[in-house]
Amino acid sequence: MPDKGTEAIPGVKDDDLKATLANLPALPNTSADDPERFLTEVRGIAEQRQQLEWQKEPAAEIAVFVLTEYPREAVGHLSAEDVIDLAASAGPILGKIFFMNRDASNGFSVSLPDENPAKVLQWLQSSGLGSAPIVFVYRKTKQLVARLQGSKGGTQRFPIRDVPPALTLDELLKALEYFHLANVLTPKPCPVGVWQKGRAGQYVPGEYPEKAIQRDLANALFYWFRGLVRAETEDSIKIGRIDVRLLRLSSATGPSPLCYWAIIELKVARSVHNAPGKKKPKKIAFSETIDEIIEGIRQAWAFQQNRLADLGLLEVFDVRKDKSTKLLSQKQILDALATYQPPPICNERALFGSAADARKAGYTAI
Amino acid sequence: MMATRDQSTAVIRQRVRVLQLLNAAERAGIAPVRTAHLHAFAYLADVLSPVWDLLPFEGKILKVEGGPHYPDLQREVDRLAALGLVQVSGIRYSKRLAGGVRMDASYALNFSAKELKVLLAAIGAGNEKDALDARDCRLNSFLVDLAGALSRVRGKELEPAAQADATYSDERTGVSNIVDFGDWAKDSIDANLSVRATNRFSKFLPEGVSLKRGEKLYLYAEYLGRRIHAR
Repeated sequence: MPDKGTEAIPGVKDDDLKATLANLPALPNTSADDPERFLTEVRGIAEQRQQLEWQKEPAAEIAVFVLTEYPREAVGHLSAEDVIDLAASAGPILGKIFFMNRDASNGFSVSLPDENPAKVLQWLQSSGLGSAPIVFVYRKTKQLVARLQGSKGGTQRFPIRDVPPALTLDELLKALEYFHLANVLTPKPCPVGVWQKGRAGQYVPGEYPEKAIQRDLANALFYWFRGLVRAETEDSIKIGRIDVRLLRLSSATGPSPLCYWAIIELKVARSVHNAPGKKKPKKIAFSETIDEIIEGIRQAWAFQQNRLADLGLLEVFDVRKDKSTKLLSQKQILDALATYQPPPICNERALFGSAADARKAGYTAI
Repeated sequence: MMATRDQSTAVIRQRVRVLQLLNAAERAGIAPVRTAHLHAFAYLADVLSPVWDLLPFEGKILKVEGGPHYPDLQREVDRLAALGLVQVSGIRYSKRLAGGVRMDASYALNFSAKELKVLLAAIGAGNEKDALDARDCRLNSFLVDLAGALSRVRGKELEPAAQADATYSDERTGVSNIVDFGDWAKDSIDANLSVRATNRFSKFLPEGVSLKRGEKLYLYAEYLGRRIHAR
């Protein structure tokens, strides 16, 4: 019996549905938390203005975006302007503070009360918006500074890029490297679940660290390639597969306007199993770790072939305490790679249980 | 004549509905909402609620010239305005084809009403622990998602979007007939062309890819925008 869900529909042209689907990479990240979703959209707006060389912008140097539950309530009795479809309208943003929905698409704006960020934060606090996620856009330094936990929370800094990212292997590797350094290198920015709570210093991994990394990696790649790719995640932890899949617009005419650009298989190399509380973690034999990586190589290659993806990658996140033995230069790994054509592109990413350990290992920017 | 219990319940349900719709519009940054847009939003919420595995508030509507219109909804919007929970602005009058005039206005929540935030929390627009029925939180999340999706329809053209909707615009149902997508239809999935359209996107996806329900709503809103501007 035909699946009623996918039968042709009276009055609905398949061509229209297919053409609409081509907009999928441009949609907001509906999987992300509201603050992350908001940040991604604000970055898109800022980069769009940067790449247009800030045409039609006034002389001001900063713009401020505030994620509010109720944008109209936030502006209260201020003399506010309606903001409709900010990205598409390409209206000026500098010198203004925007009170927006989570897609940073609609809301209201008022003139900035002061260009001094500290004074803006004070003003927001006195207006009862101290806990709202805030993003500052700085034209001169080409930086975004996000305070996603509110005016008193920590800051994250991001560059505003002059040139949109290209869909190349080099750009993807840049994105993965950035993710490694900014998101997982040390426990502080690491997603919850990579390390067992309170035991990062002992290098005890969480129960499902791959899963914890997967979500943040998908969001990071969505952010990096905003509007160009759609990041999808595979949820097959029971069969030992965790990956992030990136779709792009297809250049060929075919049944879908989208195709697979890259498959990124994730593996976490451990020296001990997860152990909650003060339990002594059981050791994992090095050979077992190597076997896992070999399996990851096979999975990355098989999935790339199966889905006709342009690129197949394996990212190995090393949470071992002793990293002196490099994983990807082991003979068994090199032999395994030699059996596949083309071999997946493999990277080894060191994760440290403390910032001090990372610095000792040469990551001096920490 | 005193209202029956059923009538009282119906009135309360409708008022809750109005507050939930306006709450979602505020969250999406598209409030105040003009009369026709509010009715269009209510209709699209009904017809697309199965995307979130929710039952529609109303599973049918009378097809009229000028797009979806719910007399009961309008009555309760106006009563909530009289009660001070809803703000009205931009009132104007337009002639009706059948004679008389129709009032058009813009509606928004009245944030200065003392009881508003407590009421919104009770009907699921706040934290789950404050809701009288936790299921309302899911409904509110759906409405906020849908309002966000529809806010991307260029120029906030909700009224033409509702008229372009696959179910509402189905030529097999003429004006002055009932558009039924859930109340009487033997097979509500079959009758609901809008939800079928959101499912049919998957036919054009690469193997192994599936759409999240939020993406279905956003894509469907983009599709409606395409239909409006193709006219």
